[in-house]
Amino acid sequence: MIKIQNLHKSFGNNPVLRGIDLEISQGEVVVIIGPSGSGKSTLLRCLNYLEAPDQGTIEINGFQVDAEKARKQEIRNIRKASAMVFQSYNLFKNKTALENITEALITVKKMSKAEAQLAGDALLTQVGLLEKRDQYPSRLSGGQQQRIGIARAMAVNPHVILFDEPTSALDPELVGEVLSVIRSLAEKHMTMIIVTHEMSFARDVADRVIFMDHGAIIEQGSPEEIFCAPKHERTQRFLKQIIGK
Amino acid sequence: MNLNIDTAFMLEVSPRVFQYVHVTLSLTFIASLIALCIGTTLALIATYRIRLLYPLSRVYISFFRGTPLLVQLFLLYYGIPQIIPQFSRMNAYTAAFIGLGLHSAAYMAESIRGAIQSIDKGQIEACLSVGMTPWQGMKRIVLPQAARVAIPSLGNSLVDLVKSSSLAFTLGVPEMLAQAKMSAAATYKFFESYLVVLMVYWLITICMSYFLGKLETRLNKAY
Repeated sequence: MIKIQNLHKSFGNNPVLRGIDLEISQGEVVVIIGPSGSGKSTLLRCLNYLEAPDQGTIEINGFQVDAEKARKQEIRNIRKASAMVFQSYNLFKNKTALENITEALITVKKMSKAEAQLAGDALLTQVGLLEKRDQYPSRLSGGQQQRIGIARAMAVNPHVILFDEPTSALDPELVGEVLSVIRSLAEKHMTMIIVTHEMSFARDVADRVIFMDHGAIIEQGSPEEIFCAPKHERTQRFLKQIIGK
Repeated sequence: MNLNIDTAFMLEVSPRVFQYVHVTLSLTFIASLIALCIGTTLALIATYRIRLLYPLSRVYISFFRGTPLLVQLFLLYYGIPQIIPQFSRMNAYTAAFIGLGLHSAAYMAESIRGAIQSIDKGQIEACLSVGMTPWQGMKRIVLPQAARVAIPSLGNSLVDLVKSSSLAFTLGVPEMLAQAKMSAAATYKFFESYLVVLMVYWLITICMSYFLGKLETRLNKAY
């Protein structure tokens, strides 16, 4: 269970999140869409505490943080309960594919190296990259790097995986392989929050679609409701621009 | 011009100078360890902008970079013991590597700080996102990548240290330059004596550059 209440965040005088309330149940796949600058990425980054929100509470799997009196340990617990897949992959450049996955297992989960490698190999197999296990990120294509990024996020066995535009930096022909890995996670009922511009993928994979604009949730519902019969004028306008209908 | 160079004398003096090469190398080695430790600490203080320590670290760096090393060594060896008598037991050799280390630390701090800042913020964010602590991320991901960036300029500092170690002569440390000066004084063959010393220094720094190049290639294998 994820529960976000009245989340606010400003950069200087510029409010980016204006009171977000959101509940996500276990196993749910939530896709967030919206124009750039609408606060989608900031919302995800606040959930992982890569940005500290100014006000509001976040609860993930029983771990709670109140933004106005967040303690280090609370922040750490929230981070451990979630994992992030970044737009620019952010793989550890000085580590091989396998080491990228095992790093947190060894340093955070305190596994032995052998245990971690076993788990790492299983995850590499799952994302179809076992043969790249000893390659450094610089030798991998964007799609392969992002699949390792997903495996790294899965490794810590998080309550939720946050995807921040996972395919935006990819060449078009590499998008498919990454989306299919995410799709396979959805089939296993991994809880996920995905920010994406891939509308047809969103429609396929989402249990719920959220439309954000100017730091607020404007509208949410099933993919059919949002894509076929959006109620709000701003949602309609956004979808018209994106899909062109 | 008198081109009457006594090569036989040079060959004779070379082994005598060379037997002090370990003094130069050990001074450089100990000083570089001191410099690397203090330099990294100063760089981390600057990176995290630690209260109170940060302004002090700026003063340290400004002082050691903005004043002559020779005078710093004199102050340390001849001056400080007058103020703090415990230091009067410090010998010239110790004073030399401490002084060289403190001086070089100021330069290394700036190289390391720049290298840390050049590492993409996404790297530390990725560490935090999987639950690592900021310090784990710094130690295991950021610093190793920064080391690779810093190696060329740290290498320059190391070469500088080799050369600056000759200043230990002025504190009375028996080293290569001191030996050459004695030979020169005894025979009046100044040109040959000092040329031999320079050749030995040159040889050391050439070897050093070679190994630094190797190290750079090794650290680059991930890129």
